[in-house]
Amino acid sequence: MNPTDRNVLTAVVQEVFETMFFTFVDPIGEDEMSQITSLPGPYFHGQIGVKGENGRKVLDIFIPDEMANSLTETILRKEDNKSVSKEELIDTTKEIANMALGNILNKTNKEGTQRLTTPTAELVGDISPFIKDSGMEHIYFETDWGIMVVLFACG
Amino acid sequence: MAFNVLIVDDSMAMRSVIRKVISISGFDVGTFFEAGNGIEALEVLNEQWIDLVLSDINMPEMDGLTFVKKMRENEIYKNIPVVMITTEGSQACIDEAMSLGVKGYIQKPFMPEVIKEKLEEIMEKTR
Repeated sequence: MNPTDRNVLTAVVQEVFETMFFTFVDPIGEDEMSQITSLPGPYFHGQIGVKGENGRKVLDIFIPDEMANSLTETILRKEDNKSVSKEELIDTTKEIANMALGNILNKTNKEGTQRLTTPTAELVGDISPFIKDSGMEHIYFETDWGIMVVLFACG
Repeated sequence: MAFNVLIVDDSMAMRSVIRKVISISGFDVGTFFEAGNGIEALEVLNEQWIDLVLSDINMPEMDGLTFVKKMRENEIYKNIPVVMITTEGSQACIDEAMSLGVKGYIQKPFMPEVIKEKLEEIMEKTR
């Protein structure tokens, strides 16, 4: 990933978490990333793309499940003290993916006519093989709940 | 004067965030109504008195721009103020929303103050 794209992606992801969830996520340097060989999960995996113009853009985000739980509890702040449901965790993950890619487009292609696809999300386990085989550019973020991973493909 | 507010967003998390932001902003809300897409929102408009609509754009079944077009075709609720709250930030999308007469366009992620300021502006004009 060229440094400019990496900086935009990093700034957008940080802005989404800081503004909407009051949570700080710190990018991990590429040297340190290469030493991380295991990402056992479980993770909530959100994915979203764009439609409407030539070229492909896809963003995948892998949020540690405890982090997704904490963020969702913060947002929903349930008065009945019930724990959040898997459906609510998936909903939060989809919205995070939606805000992240939407803002990347806003910062890089404001005049474009691209529209976001409907985001999807699911609970997954070990993501190490997926990251290794994806061929997508990726950034790791240090969080209070473990490593969060963002993959971005732009072609 | 208390305003009945309809929040239209397919994300329940986002509807919750918007509801909380408005609640702590001091905006005088009578009742919050919620809908997960444009079709559900039109059903709410048919059944409830709504003073203000806050709508996402990118939603399944019926998106926010189509929903606002349908609103404008209806004599009863064509004049209800609408604010878009969305991740869609392309100029083409903003222009289309503005051509439909929306009163504001807020991009996610948003600072709570942005929603508060926009609602105060609308409230001021309504007085």
